[in-house]
Amino acid sequence: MIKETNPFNIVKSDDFTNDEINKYWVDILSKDKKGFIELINPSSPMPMILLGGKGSGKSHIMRYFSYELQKIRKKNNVSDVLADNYLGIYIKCAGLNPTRFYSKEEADQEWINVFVYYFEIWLAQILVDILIDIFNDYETIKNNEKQILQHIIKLFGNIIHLSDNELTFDSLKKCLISIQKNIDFSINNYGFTNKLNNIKIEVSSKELIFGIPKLLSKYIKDFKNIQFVYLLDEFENLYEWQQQYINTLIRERELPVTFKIGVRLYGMKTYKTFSGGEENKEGSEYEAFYLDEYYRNNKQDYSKMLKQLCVTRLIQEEFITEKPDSKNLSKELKKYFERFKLEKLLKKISTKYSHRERPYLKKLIKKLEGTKHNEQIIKNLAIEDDILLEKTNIFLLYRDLKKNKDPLLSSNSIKLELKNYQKNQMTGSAQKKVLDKFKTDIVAQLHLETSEKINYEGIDLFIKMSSGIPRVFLNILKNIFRWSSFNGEDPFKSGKISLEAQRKGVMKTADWFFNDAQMAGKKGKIVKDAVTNLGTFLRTLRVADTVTECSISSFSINTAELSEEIVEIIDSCELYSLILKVSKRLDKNTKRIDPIYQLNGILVPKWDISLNRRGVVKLNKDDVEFIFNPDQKDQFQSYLNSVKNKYNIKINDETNTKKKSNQYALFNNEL
Amino acid sequence: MDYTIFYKVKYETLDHFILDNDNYWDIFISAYNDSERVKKVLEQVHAEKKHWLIMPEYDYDPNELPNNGQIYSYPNLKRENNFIQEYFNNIKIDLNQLQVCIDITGFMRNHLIYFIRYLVSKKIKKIDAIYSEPTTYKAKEDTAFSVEDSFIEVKQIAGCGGSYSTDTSKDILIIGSGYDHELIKYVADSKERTEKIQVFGFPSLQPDMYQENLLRASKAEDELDGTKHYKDYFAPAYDPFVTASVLQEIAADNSPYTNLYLSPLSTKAQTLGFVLYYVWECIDKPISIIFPICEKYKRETSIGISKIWKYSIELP
Repeated sequence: MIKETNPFNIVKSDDFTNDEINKYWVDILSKDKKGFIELINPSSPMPMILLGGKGSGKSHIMRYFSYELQKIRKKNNVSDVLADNYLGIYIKCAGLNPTRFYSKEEADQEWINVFVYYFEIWLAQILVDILIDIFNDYETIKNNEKQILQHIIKLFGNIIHLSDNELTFDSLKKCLISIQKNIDFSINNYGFTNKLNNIKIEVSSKELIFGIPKLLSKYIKDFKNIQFVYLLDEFENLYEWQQQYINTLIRERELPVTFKIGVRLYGMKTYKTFSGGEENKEGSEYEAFYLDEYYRNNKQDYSKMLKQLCVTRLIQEEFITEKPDSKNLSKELKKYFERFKLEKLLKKISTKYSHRERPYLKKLIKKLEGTKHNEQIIKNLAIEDDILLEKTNIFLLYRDLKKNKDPLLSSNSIKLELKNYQKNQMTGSAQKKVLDKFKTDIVAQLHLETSEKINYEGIDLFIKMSSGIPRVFLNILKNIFRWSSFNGEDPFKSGKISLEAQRKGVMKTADWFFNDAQMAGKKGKIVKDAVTNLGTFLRTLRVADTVTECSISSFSINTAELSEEIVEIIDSCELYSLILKVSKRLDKNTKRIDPIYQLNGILVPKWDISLNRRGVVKLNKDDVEFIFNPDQKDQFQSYLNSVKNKYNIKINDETNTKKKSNQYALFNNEL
Repeated sequence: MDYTIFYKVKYETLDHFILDNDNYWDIFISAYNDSERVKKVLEQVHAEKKHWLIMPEYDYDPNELPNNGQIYSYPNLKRENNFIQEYFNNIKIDLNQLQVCIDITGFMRNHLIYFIRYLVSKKIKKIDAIYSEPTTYKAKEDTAFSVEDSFIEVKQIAGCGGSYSTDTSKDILIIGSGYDHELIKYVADSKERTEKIQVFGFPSLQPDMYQENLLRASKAEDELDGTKHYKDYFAPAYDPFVTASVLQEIAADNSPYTNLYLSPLSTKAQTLGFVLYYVWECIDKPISIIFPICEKYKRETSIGISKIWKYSIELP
């Protein structure tokens, strides 16, 4: 029976009420005790652009700093809210329905003017709603209402006339609604008349957005030290020319106003302004904060935050009653999940193949067909009761064969090394060296070659897979919970969540993420195909006979030698969080610094790639072309075959016989 | 508004439809595509004049166009309002003086919606509409109507906007969920902070289509899921009037709301229902029709002609 309450069902900030944002809030606390308030710094006059992948938590954070949440935190005490020294005015850009303002393409001046006017009226309404609340709740300020409104009305020229009795923010709000309705009507009518009739622009740009806060600051002492922060969320929903206008506001901002913009990584269409075509520069007109990058660069704090988030959800939905001590948090959460045990897997494989040849051994036997001494070679390498070592031996053989060593001699040497390893595992035997470096890859190959599914388990792994995007983590837990319940388990209540439920939950999340991260149109398909090619390529390397680097999940590229189109595709993959730029690498020969990318952690299960970041494969120009260039689509499979040929071993007995005879001669001479 | 007063007739076959003496019009307007159910109907219908509208999304070359009707083709007019306005500017006819019928089967949904809205703006009071059901969709539950990767953006349909509230705390998005799950995802994603309600076509056009519809819509589950007040509604896939009634019911069930967005992504008959609800009850309210605009649509997705429906549309 599927449990009705899934504590992780809600994964989007949008699905939370303001009270729930407050209830479920988990701060990030860094080593130097910086939480979001220090990171976002809402009372700072410096504008900020908060960039992050979809699901990184931008809206959640921005809503947290909105007036509505300030009030909840301060238990509805407006005076305490004002003591924060900022007022968060939260606006969702999608609410403007910005696509009705003509079109994506550059709008003519008439449409720009209408949008500017509308934006002014829209923001003013949201600010006035907050002021209505403040003035109604705060007696001391209430006495100033008429006086301040007399000043604010003047900002509107002659279009608003309010009698003395009507001098309230409520009345002002009604006037603003009326102005807005008129513009809405005209915009809608444009669909029939192709003309923007009846819109007389009575308020110029910035008059209200800056003007109202300035008046409040000037005339009411409680507002004197208040930073008015317009929190503009979902900025990516605006057309480029609309963003250009708001960039202008940022550039020409006037105290006590500032802006915090929330936007997806791909969402900043321009930094240009209408101020003589100038562009806003980071560090000068604004500061940029890359949210998911911050999380990835502060792994411990991020991990702690997500674990707290998990516990908060479990407590709220009454799965647990007491919050574990922060020191025991990891331990407490780990106990809910079944752990993978390598011994169990090895035993399972052993039993599965007790009456038939193990597949990797069968593969080797086939490769050795026709080779002299093939039976002896197999005998040297096979270990009936230790599959891991057996596979390691074969790994070593393939590595030697890659260097054209004689297979029999190689297997003799491996057998000798094995004896050393079995006597004392601390020695520097070949097996120990390989297992120290390539164990995860060998175990992964064992899984795949014996048709066993690779497991993804444990809260630490889920956090790592989320790659700085909390929504991915929540989705993993949500899907795991569903599968666990479906399997008849009692997740987070009794028993452990099985490996199977964890794996299925992770796989579902991987599919969701891959399908969800979509660019519109043809480019979207190109980007997705590129990532699929990349995943397939990395998988090919991982399962090859000769694995060159351990735990390959990262790759470096010389972007300077690539065409603009390919660079754009790679950039798009990054902007949609399908790949992540994780580091840089100095090319020893050329001294050039190449970026290093990694597939997003949650996509790793789609292609059975390692989540760990150890080995980096250097992609040359041809590799990049075949992987990323859509024009090479039909050649990709051939390219992949050539990669397989390069890293898989083919044993040619004729060639080896000649080499062998030389080597034997040498051996005999030595003897 | 009581939509049950609207009149509809069901014809079991094309022959029944053609043989009905009431089915004669001064102008018969259809949107051309390769479907048998579109082509055969115009070919056989009794009308003084037959107009083919060539929708740019079908991307026809001039040599691919039919020759059994008057062609109105504006390939450069991508926006629905520009296209339909140009058509009416060209025909220069007072539709109030004539018996007019439109075959909605081949229309792009955004063009259909604007067409009806345009009629209202010109105070046209009555029009007949017909809709031909297919026997089946070619690729069953995998049938795609829009061409892959041709999505441009989610946009409000011209003339179908509202007067919006700055309070977005209880915004609602009603989606007429069809087979195009990608389009459902785009629309849902464009209005993230809304409560999402789906209207499924049930009864469906053919018995198996309901399951096919559910299978496809489930692929958009992640965009629609997680919302606490998520609920499904049902309206016959072939009945615009019941669809309009259901929308009325949804609005009442979820009142008060702050803004309401309608997005018809299912059958043309349901789409007609969405726009009827809009023109009768939603103008000048915080209600609008939004739609995922695509560059291209497939010219043929169905097989055969099953039933034909005739709707007598009355407009405010």
